[in-house]
Amino acid sequence: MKLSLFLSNLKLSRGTLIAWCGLILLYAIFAAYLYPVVSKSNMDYISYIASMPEAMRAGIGLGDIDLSSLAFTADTYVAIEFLMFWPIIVCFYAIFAGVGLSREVERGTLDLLLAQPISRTRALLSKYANLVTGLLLIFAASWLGVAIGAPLAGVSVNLGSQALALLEALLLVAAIGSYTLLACIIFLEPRKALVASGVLTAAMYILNFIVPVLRPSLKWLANLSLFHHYNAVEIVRSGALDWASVAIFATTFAVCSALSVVIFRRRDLSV
Amino acid sequence: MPVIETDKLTKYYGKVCGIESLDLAVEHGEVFGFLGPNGAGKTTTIRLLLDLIRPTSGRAHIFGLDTNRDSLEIRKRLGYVPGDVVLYDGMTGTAFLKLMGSFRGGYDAARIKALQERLDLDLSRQSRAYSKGNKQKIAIVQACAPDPELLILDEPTSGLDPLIQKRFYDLILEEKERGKTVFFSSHILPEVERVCDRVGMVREGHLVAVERVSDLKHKKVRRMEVIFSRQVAVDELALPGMEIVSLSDNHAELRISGNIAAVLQKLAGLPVEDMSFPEASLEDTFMQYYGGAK
Repeated sequence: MKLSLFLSNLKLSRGTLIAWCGLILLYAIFAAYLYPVVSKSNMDYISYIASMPEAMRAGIGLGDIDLSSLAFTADTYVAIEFLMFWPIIVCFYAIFAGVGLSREVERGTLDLLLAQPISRTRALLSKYANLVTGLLLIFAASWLGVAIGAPLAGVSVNLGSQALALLEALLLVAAIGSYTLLACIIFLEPRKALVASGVLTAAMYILNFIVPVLRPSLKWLANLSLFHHYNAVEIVRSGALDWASVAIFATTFAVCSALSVVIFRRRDLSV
Repeated sequence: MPVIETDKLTKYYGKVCGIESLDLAVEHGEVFGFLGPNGAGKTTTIRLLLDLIRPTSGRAHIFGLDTNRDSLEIRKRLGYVPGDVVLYDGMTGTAFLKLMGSFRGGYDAARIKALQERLDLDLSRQSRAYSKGNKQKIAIVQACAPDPELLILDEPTSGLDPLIQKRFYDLILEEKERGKTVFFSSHILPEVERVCDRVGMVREGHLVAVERVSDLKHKKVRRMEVIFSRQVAVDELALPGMEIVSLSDNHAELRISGNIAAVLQKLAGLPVEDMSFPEASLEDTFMQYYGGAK
C-alpha cells in the first residue's frame, strides 16, 4: 500500500464519508431511542415479528430464529431494527466506493497514476485500504450511535455484543466490497462493474429469503448467500461471534482480493 | 545503447490493429518526434512503453530494461505527459503535484516554482477550475519536476496557447541541452520540425519512415495558393515538383515538393496578384513521399 495515495483518496472521499457516518449515527441513535417507546406501548413486539409473513421475516434475517425463546430487550430491539438492516444499507457504500477504481480507468486518472513509479499491486491495495477504512469509520459511527442513543433513552445495552454484531456485519459488507472491486478489475467500466456487483448482491439477498419460502426443498441454496450467514440477533443474544460466518466472509474477501491483484497485475488498462 | 528500443512491437485490440511490427530506436540525448494523424497508433505505442497495456507480440526496452518486467524501475527514470490530462476532482494543483511527487521521494518546491512561473501557472486552484491548457501545464510540471532522464510526451501542446507553446518548446530544447531524451508524439508537423532531431512517421499502425528533421525539410510538401490578374493556362504552370491541385479562373492551388526557388522563378514570369502558403497537412507529406503506403 502507498500511504500518500491512501491519504489522498481518503481526503477526496471525506465528504461522502462524513455524510455516511452522520446518517448512520443518527439511525443508530434513533433505533436505540425508540426502544422505550415500543416497550411501553401495548404492542407485543416479539409476537408482532412472529406474525410477519415468513418471507418478510427472512428478509430481515429473522427466518431461522426461534422467536419463542427470544426475550424483548433493548439489545434485541437494536439488533432487529438496526443491526439486521446495517449490511443492507452499508453495502450501497461498499458497492459505490468499490467501483471507484473503474471510474479512474474511465476518466484517465489511473493512467497518470500508473505512469509514476508505483506498482499496480500497491495502487490496488491502497484502494482496498480506502474501502476498509471507510467501512471502519461507518462501523465506529454506528457503534457510537448506539452508545449515545441508549443512555439518551435511559436504557442499557451490551455495547460489547453490539460491537461484535457490527463487526460481523462489517466483514459481510467488506466481502461485498471485495467482489465489487474484482468486478471493476474484470470489466474496467463503472457501469458494468456496478451492474455485475449490484445484481450479484441483490441475487444473494433474494436467494436468502425468497427461494426457501417458495421452494422449501431448495432451502440449502440460501447457504450460497452471504446474507444467510449473518445473524445479528444471535450474536447479541449469545455475546459471541459466529466463527463459521466470520470464516466465510473473510475467505470471500481474501479470495476476491487475491484474484483482483493477480488480474490487475496482468491485464491491459484500457476500457 | 538506445534509450528506447522496440523490436517488432505489435498490439491488437481484438481484430483492430493498434500498432504492428514497430521497430524503433531512440538514442540518448535526442528529441524524437513520433508523428502521425489521430488513430495512427501513437498513444498505443506510448501506453505499451509505459506498460499500461501489454503487447500482443514483440518487445520494448527502455534504458535496456524490459518495459513489462522492469516497468517500475523504468518509471522511476521517466516523466510522462498524457494527451488528455484528467486531474482528481477536489484537488488543488499543488496537492496533485505533491501526490505525484510522493511516488518519487518528494516534492521539489524550488523546481516546481520555477516551472510554474515559466508556464504561467496558478497551482492554488481546484482541479475543476482548470482549463484544458492549464491541466496540460500541470501535467508538464509533474513530468519535468523530478528531472527524469526520459520524457514521454503524448501530444503535449494540445490546449496550450501559442505563447506557452513557445515556452514549452524552449523547455524541451533546454532538456535536450542537459542531455535528456525526449519522445514527443504529435500530429502537428511544424512543431515536430521545430524541436525534434528525428521523426518517426506512423500511419494506420505502421511505422512508415524515420527521417532526420533536416532531411524532412528538404522533402517537405508545401501547399501554395496563387491569385493571378488573368486566367492562366495549365501549360503555363507546368514544372517538375509542382502539382496543380486545382485551377479555376485566376486562382490556382499548388502542391510543391523540394526546392521552392524554381517555383518562384516560374511564377515571376506570370501575372501574380497574391499568394499564400497554407500549412501542409500530414496527409500531404505522407501521400507525397510514402505514396500512401501502409
